[in-house]
Amino acid sequence: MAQRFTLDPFTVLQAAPTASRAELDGTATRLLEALAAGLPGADRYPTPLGPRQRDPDIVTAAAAELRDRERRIVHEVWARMPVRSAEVEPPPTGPTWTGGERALGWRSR
Amino acid sequence: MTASLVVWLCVALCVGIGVSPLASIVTIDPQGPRAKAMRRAEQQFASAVMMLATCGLFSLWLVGRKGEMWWPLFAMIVMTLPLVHPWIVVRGIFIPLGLARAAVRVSRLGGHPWFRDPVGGAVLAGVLAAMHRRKHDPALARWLRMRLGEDRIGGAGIVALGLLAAESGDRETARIVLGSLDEIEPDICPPLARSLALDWLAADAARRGAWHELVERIVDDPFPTRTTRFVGLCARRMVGEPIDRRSIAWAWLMAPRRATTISLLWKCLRHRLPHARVLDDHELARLAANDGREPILTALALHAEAAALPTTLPVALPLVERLAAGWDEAFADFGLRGEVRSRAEHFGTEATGELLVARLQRAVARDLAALLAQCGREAEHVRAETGVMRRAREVHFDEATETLAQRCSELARRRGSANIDPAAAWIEWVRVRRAYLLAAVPLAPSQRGLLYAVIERELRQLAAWLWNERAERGLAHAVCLFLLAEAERVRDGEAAAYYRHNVVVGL
Repeated sequence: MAQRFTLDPFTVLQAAPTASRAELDGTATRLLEALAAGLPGADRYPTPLGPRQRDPDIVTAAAAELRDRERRIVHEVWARMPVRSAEVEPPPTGPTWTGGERALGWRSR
Repeated sequence: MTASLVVWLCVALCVGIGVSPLASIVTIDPQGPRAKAMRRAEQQFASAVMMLATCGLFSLWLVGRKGEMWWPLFAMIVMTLPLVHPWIVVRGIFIPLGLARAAVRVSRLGGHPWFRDPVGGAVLAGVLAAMHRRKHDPALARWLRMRLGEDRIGGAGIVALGLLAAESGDRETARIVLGSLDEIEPDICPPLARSLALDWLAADAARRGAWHELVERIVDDPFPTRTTRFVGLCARRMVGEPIDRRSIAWAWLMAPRRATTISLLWKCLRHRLPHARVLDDHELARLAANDGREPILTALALHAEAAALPTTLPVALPLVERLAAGWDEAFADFGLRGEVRSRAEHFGTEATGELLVARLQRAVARDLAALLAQCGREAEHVRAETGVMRRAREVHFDEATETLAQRCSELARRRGSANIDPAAAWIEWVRVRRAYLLAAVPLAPSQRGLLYAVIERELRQLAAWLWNERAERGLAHAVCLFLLAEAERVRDGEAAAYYRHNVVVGL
């Protein structure tokens, strides 16, 4: 479910939903070159759920996905959600305790 | 004087056995598990009396020869007691030393506490010994697993099966197998096995930080130990109940093995409930509920909020309903439909704008279906019967039907190829049952009936196979009980009559 936002092709390519096909292909090529060259910042991108790691595989998959015009239109809707650069904090949970089995006397390790 | 006392004591015990009320065969099937367990208990009691009497008589003979009686009497009792009550040796020596094979073999002599399931109990004793070893031994685990297949298994055997899965690292299987003990009739489930399963599940919940689950489990425990009482108090404090620190500290002092529980005591005393997060104006403006923007942006914001939740945590139903309402509003918005239509015309796609909106709706429904599954039993109260929530229920139903049909056909294939033993069949059955119950929660009664029909045929065959071919009457009885309850719930009269007959026949 989170992948709808974190792996949305427009989000991965950091491109506007109104971008043309040539612009999207150009963006993908630039990102692949930057990743191959190891440019700082190319391996991270902001999503609506906070920053995520980028690699050549998801860039290639995003570019391929947007070549299908019908799928592109659906992705345009998802891409309307604004991205955020700060990490989304999960809800706080209680501490864990791993010593239960030993404490109950049925385990010694 | 002392000799006469011993003789009179033995006579009194024999009289006690004679006058003690035995259960009538009118109420108890002589071939049933309860009668068998009672017979085993009586045999052990008779053996104990015979042992005492023999030791007493032998001591009297020694009195006549040497004039001493008590030390030979005590020595003989100490030597012969393990024969009558092997659990003393198994619990006191073999389990702490990790002597699993010896624990199994000695436990097979019978006796307390495994009257209701002697074979499973012996294997469980072996598994407990294996858990005291320094490292997991796969060969020993295989050996123990094979011992389970030697005879019929009951509740203790199922606990052994679950603990073996946990030992091999498959905690998810262990969780569902030990949780399935509720399905087993008490007549074939030793109380100690039930208590062990509960202990493990409580320890597992604490390990995952699932304190709510732990509180529910401890509440269900009719005979909590001092340790489980302490852990239960800690869990209640963790979930926010106003439990006094002094009562927790006192429970810790009263519990055994304090060195192993002091870490929990420390965590519990330091634990504070998280304060409600204070939102600043900037964040407040971004919240979907306070923003008067387009409906699609509201729906997307709610969707992102739900997507940010960890999939391992339960989801609150109001969140799902709010999300569904948000999407309903977005899909009803002519602006969104118009924009999608104009984009479709711009690109000259084969699919119309309406079809593309329908695809989007299906994607949303799929996510809502996943969230409904994450809601657990709370999803039973889902109210929305229209719009995207209705679509989500249909998607959920389609996927659940497909998954359960696959599971059932896999079970049928393994059963047909004889590539499965009753213990493995039980694991498959509890998986199917759990998947069915989770899938059925948000469904309408008619859909639940259709889903029941998907699993009923295969589970009926499984129960017949367990009963007729493997003589596992206890396991077959549990399957029939579940199918009966579900048949009555979905109002399948024919199936209910069939299973009612099987259940009445008994174990």
